[in-house]
Amino acid sequence: MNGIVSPVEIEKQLKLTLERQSDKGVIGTRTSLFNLVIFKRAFVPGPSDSALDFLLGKRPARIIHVDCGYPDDTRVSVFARCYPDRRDRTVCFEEVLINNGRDGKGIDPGMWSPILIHDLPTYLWWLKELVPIPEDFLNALEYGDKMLIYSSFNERVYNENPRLIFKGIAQLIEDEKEIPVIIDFSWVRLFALRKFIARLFDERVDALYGIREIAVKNLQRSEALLLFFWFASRLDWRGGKIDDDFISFRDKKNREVLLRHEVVGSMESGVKIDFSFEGFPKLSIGCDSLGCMEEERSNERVQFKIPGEGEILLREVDSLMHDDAYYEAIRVTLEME
Amino acid sequence: MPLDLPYFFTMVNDFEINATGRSEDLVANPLRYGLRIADEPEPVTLVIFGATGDLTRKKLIPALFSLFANGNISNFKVVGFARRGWSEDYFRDYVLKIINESVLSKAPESLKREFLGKCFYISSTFESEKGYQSIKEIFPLPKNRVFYLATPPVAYEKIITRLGETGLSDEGESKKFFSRIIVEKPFGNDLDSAKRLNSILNRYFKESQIFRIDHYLGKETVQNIMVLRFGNGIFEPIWNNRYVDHVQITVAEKEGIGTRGNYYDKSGALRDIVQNHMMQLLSLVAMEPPIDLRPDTIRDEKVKVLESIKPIPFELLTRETVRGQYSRGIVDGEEVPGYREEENVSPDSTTETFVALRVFLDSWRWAGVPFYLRTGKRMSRRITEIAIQFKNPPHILFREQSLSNTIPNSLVMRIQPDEAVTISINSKIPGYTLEMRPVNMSFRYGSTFGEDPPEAYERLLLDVMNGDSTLYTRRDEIEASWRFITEILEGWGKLGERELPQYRAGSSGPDEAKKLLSLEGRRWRKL
Repeated sequence: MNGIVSPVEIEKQLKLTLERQSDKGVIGTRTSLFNLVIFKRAFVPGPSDSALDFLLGKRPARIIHVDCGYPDDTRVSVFARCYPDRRDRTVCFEEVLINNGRDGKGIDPGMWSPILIHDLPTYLWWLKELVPIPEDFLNALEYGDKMLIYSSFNERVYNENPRLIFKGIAQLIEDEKEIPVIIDFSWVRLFALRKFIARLFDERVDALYGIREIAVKNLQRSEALLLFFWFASRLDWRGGKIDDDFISFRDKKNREVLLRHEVVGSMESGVKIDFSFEGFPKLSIGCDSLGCMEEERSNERVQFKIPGEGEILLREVDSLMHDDAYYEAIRVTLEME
Repeated sequence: MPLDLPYFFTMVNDFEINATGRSEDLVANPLRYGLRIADEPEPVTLVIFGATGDLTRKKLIPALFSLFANGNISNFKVVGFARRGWSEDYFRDYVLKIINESVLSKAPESLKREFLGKCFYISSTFESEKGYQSIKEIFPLPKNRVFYLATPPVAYEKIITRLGETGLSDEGESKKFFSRIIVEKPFGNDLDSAKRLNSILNRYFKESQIFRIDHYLGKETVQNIMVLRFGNGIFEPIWNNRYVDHVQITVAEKEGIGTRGNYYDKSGALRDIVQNHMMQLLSLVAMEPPIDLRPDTIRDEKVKVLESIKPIPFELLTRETVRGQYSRGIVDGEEVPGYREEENVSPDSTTETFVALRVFLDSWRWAGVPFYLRTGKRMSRRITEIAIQFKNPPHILFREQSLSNTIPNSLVMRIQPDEAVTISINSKIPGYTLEMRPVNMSFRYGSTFGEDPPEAYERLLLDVMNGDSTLYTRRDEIEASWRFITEILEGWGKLGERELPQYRAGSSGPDEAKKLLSLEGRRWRKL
């Protein structure tokens, strides 16, 4: 099916497509649980395809792809993907692909919002530029229950400054009280690392208030910043200054805390973090595929599992909760010089 | 099958730090704020008594491997303890065979090898002190220990006593390590034996160390009963005698007793199913909302239900209870023998394979509402469900139009198979007249989520390692349940073979069970 068609026609075509899928020897098709609208640049490889592959077979959903940057007029096509489970029932995605053309109609909510299944939660996944926050992003928020962003993707692909991404989002949350939940994949990827670090300080809480320096190797810039901002928000550090080489804050006793992001790399290749304290011995930790450990206690490893994008997507579409810790972390950017 | 390794830990034992970053459980660590962390189990040595038996093969090893493969447990040892003179290598081969026949058979070989490296074996009788000493000597670490009694009940006393005598039940003054024991059903065969077993356990283990397992509580859909009731606002207001006419709880099985004749003929359906599984379902469906989700808060509410069950004295026995025994019949198109023809069953056995009860609860909420319980073997269909049957509207407006065509509303929670929640309502049939018919609104677990829920034993084993006893039965629950059941058992004992109707295998039970409801103008839900 090509060209702009009415929502009624799209529904009809989706029904027919699903019926054709269901004829393939399966018993029954599950009812969709939610809508997911993915905004991305056409021809730019992104994480959504592999994440959807992971989700397929686990949650039935209506997926609307809004692919931007087509040279022609906006076009719409529909398709369905089904995956039989062990009981030979299918879990299907009803999918609508909107190629947003030069007329810009495809990204307009008037185009895609009538195709949302009414009364189901709607998740939006924004994989387009975020600096400055685009008008289309703001327009989409009204129709979503949760907005997913992926700051390290934007950093990598669009070369956007992650601090500005966080600042834009934080400002939005500050200004607009009625916006849906916003979650950053990069923040969620840090979960296991944050958990390990938090546990580490259970036994040495006092040392947290003596941190003088943290040096991180092998994270994306956005991930490193999120980690630093997390520390800053939890420990009430103020007066943040950011430089190419380091970030500094003042702790509650007005002492300087230096945060260095020494090597840009992927978390998967192994993260190393060195902590220096006032009044406490240095602490170094490492996390890689074998687990996380303190360097002093290298025989005591705990599992370190970095979630894949599909795992994150699955988790996020099962929940409408927001994460206060994330909001507080990125709010730090609003007070930085 | 893809091996999805979850990175978020289960919500079991979760605690969320409040806005000040403080929690009673922790020294205030501000980094913990907002991190929902279920503490991973501490390193643990799990000793399985009866490691060569069916339960270990069918449930425990697959569950442990699944927990390991999914990253829920990593630092542990599994020590098989049994009479057979197996070597460690032989036990590991046995474990590998079990894994290769399980749903995780396609897990990476390296993962399987790693798991096998954590498996050990002690060949010993349950009496020999030497076997228990070797648990201490050969496996001093991890010092946290869980003992799983996967043996016939006759061995329980010996094992518990030896564990106590050799100091393996001690947790030490400082409680820096734990020692826990899991006791499988049947937990006693009447009130006295259950009390005796509790006394033996309490001689060496504190209540907090004892985990009495009822695998029904590990089932996702059983846990969903509480979520449905207390996680939704629309049900609790009508969950009482003002709106509920009666409740039916059914546990029907198609299978016969198989090779369990020796056990079953001494047990019967009342002990095998009603005393444990059905009493648990009854307490979950009838309990008051707990004030929080701590294990003892929930179990306090459950035990109140069990203690509120009106006893059935001998003079009311034939009115309030029906038992039956299956005779030869056809199940799934195949002729099957009658109960008395089964292997290891006495030809003049009076053991019941079917039970139906009418139960009342002495409580404000449920006064006057009958709970009908039925369970049986060799029934026409395998189904476990709880049906809440609501009363008719106080004023039947559409009497003339459709009286015969409508039904009272019901809410049915199907536990197995095809786990579902269905609400039946009456709806207008399209057309020019005002005719009505019943229709269903259904939520099916399997039709909504594409993932299979974890096996009950996975959840239950993880809970023990985490010290969460919510899904385990407490001493007072067991004793309250046995108190009610034992009175019926004693009454049936006096009746002997009288009032023990036969029912055809493949049917829905004896006709007498139907009368239990029909005399009051009600009827059992169709199987």
